[in-house]
Amino acid sequence: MSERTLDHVSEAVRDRLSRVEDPELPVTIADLGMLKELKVVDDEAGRARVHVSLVPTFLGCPAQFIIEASVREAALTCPGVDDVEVAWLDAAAWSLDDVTPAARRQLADVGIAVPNADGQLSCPNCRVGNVVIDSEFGGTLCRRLGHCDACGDSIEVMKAANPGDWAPGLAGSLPLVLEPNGRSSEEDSSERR
Amino acid sequence: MTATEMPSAVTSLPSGERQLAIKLADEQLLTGHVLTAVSGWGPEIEINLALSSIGQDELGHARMLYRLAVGEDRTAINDLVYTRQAGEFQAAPITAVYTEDWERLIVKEYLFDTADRARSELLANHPLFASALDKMKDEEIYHLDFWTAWLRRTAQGAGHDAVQEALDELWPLTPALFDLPGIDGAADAEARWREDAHAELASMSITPRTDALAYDATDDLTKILSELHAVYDQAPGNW
Repeated sequence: MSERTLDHVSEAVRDRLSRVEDPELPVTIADLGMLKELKVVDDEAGRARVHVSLVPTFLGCPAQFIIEASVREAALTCPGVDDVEVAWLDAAAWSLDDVTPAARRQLADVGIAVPNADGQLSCPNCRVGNVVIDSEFGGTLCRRLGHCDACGDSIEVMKAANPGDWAPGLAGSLPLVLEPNGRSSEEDSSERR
Repeated sequence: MTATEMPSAVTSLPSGERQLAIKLADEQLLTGHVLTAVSGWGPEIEINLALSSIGQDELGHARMLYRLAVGEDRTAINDLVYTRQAGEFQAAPITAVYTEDWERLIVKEYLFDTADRARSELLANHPLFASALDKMKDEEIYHLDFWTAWLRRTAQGAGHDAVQEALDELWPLTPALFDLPGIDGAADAEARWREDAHAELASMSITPRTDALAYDATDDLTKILSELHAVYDQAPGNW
């Protein structure tokens, strides 16, 4: 396979994989920050072999099997690709910082808030109030439950896989209010208890 | 990835380390299975979401640790999970405790998760376990927060005596959590953990005792394995 052909195949694979969607959220796995490495190599028999490394959001996420199958299937639809190897980087950190602005907008459109680095967690529905966390556990491992303090709507909030970095010293408070600026809001949580 | 493509780091894993990874994985598997099995029994939906989420997290931690032990070979992982009999599981018996009793469940989870955090800190520089346990420890922050808050809330309320009774029968099962062959400092880590647990439990007016009759989890392990193996036994394959 010539270098130019390999480049074409690589580009096609990159483009195709960038469109693989998460089965539980209406965004791509690339925009969620799960697509870590992509390597396309010549297998010396005139075909291309694809190596993909993925980062799990939470280690127990059951969607991993579907994502892996989708990635494999997507890569195999690209002409010239013969073989796909998918590896999960269990130990690699996944952070809310890895979620792209595009994904944040798309998630807000379906009522899912993603905390950002400046500590703001505004309501994705009314866009006026702030989201108050009601439970650290939600419908999927990467989500938690909250509500808006202005419109009262129930809001799902993306959950940090590294809460220690986002809010050290949160143990003991229930429900939790996580603030990404490194402190937990004790007053808010005690008021609701 | 097939078995023949297993990274050399895995194929050359010393058998002691492999056994330890399997023991740690077994403990996460049993704990996770019980939590997912009892989710639905909680008094409100948020509790049930927590039980199923924490259970799923633990099953994910088990998968990661089995991968450390045998690599990406899914047949090997399936064999470990679905074909071994009770006597072949290396888990500390406390992880097999299968209970409908809320106080017993929160005491079990509090003891297991706090001891597991102490073990993760002990293994923080271990070449095989360090980075994987680091990610696991982050997720466990949510679990510890949940169990500790509920233990405190229950022990300081009407559930005080039931919490003390549960602790009486589960505390004697904890030494096996620190049975970590080949790991230096396990005894010291256990002593520190006991000291911390004593202090935290004392703040809830709960006292660990060593003279009570220990819970017998033998039948619980049999029950877990019969549930875990039920589908696989009828339709073997890669689950």
